[in-house]
Amino acid sequence: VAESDGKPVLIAYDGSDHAKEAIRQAGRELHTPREASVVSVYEPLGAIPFWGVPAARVPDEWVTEVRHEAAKTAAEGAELATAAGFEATPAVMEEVRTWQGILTAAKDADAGLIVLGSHGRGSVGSALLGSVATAVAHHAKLPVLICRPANSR
Amino acid sequence: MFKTIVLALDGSEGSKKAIPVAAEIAEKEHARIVIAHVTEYMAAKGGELPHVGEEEIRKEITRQAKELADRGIDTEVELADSVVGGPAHAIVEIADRTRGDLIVSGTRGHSAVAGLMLGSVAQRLLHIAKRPTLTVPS
Repeated sequence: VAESDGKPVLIAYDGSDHAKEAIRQAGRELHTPREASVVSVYEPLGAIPFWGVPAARVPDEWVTEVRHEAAKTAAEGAELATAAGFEATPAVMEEVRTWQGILTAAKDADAGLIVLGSHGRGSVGSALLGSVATAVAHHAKLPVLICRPANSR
Repeated sequence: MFKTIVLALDGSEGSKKAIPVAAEIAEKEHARIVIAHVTEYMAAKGGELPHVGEEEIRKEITRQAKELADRGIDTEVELADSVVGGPAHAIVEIADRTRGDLIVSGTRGHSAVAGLMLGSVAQRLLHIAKRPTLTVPS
């Protein structure tokens, strides 16, 4: 895509059906083979308020567990992206704000385009555009392709 | 593959950024480009144009369309009218009418307030479009 041509695609992946569909659509619509970094962003456990206690201290193994789950999600996304025609590598990013993690991952990957679904896991069915997609579109300095559920038209 | 790319243009510098991106996808996918241009009218003020120089804007868009056609891209221009605040809906209507697979837009047009990262039209477009959207920042 334009000045971004040849640069890798950053695909945000959270394991949701929307994210799976976004990968399939991107594979169909974008010129492949093309490098892709598939990132799964996870929230640092300590940042989640626990019974009103902000930044609760949690056992190390919980933290490891969350990171492990994120890595598993990213690996699954990379597998889907490979099946869709990309030369995909998985990545994980720890960030309180998911959208910020996606932008940091895009920078790390020197991406020329961000691909994500209109909704992720945290979506409310009635909302037309999820908060993460909205924030990424607002803050990105590179083109953002937002995919929609296949049956939305 | 994208067969029809709807490219939202309003003659502004911000919207211009979307042109090479749309052109490149169109060339790769052998898709056609439908330029969607919406003229905004002030509903409360007897239908005057909020932007001076709509004539100039249309000339600019005609020139941009010709440039795309000269690159060998099947290009057409679709015009629509809308009251202020309504262009996003008009763009989606054009996409529906022309069976657009993808809507490409800039992030800021004429009326975007400096400092805002996403103009109101681009923002509404993202919310109401039921098809893939590609936003190209200024």
